[in-house]
Amino acid sequence: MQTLNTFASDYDEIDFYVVSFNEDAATVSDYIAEPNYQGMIPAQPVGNMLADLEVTRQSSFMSLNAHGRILHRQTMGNAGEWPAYLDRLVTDPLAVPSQQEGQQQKEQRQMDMQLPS
Amino acid sequence: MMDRVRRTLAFAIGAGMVVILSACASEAPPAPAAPGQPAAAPATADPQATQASAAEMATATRPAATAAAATEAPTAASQPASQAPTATTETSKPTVTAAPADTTAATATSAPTLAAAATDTPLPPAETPTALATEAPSVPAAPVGTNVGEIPPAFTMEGSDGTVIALTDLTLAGRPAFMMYFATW
Repeated sequence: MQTLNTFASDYDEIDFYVVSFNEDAATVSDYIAEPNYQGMIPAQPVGNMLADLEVTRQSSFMSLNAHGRILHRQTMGNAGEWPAYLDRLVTDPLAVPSQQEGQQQKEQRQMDMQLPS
Repeated sequence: MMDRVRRTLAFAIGAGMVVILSACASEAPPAPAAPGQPAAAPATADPQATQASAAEMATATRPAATAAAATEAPTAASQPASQAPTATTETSKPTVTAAPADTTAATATSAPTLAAAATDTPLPPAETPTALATEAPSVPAAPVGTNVGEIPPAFTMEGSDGTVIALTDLTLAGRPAFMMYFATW
């Protein structure tokens, strides 16, 4: 399994944003200044971004294909799973989830939302 | 005296031919071109006879030209515009009677032409949306929502350098994006 050490070189075709819940982008920039996180773009939400996207937990993530369509999202993010989804975007930037994938992730999201944070 | 009678008869025959040919103009448009000129030639020989017969020809050819234009009017609307000038040049053969006959025919034939042009004018704008409609499906449509497979609602975030990044920016860039939501508590 790939690690984040190779993120900067292997995923140049992907814009990786680290969006902070409670810190401004400059503070996030300090956090991700370590070599392992090179290539990430620190950002902070503007307006109702988190509410509109229904992001309720930290460490959750969302991937968008080149058309802006949600390819994958997890409410309870696991960084160990990032490379699998990043690889998919590199292989096919216009990848679209199958109906089965969409249904599975939707059910998983609903289960995760019921867990205490 | 005999000479004058002969000229008058010759002109009368010529004028009669013009009337007949004008009536036939709707059936055979190019035909009056050649015989129309002999009718005008003897008329110039005697100025008095020319004026007198011109009035007769005017009254005689006007209904014919109008009838011809009336018969051509419906077809002109469906025919190409290049045929409309042909009808106008046909009625301009007689020297004196040409003016009133021409204006009648010209207005009669130009009306359908304008009508045809009016119906043709909206076509270019109609083609533009069609072209756009055929190009639009190149980007697959997806419903707006927060589930997998959907287009997320418009959002905005700000980078550490103050750059505002919107969903449209990501889409226009044509690059996939990965967003990780992070907190320090």
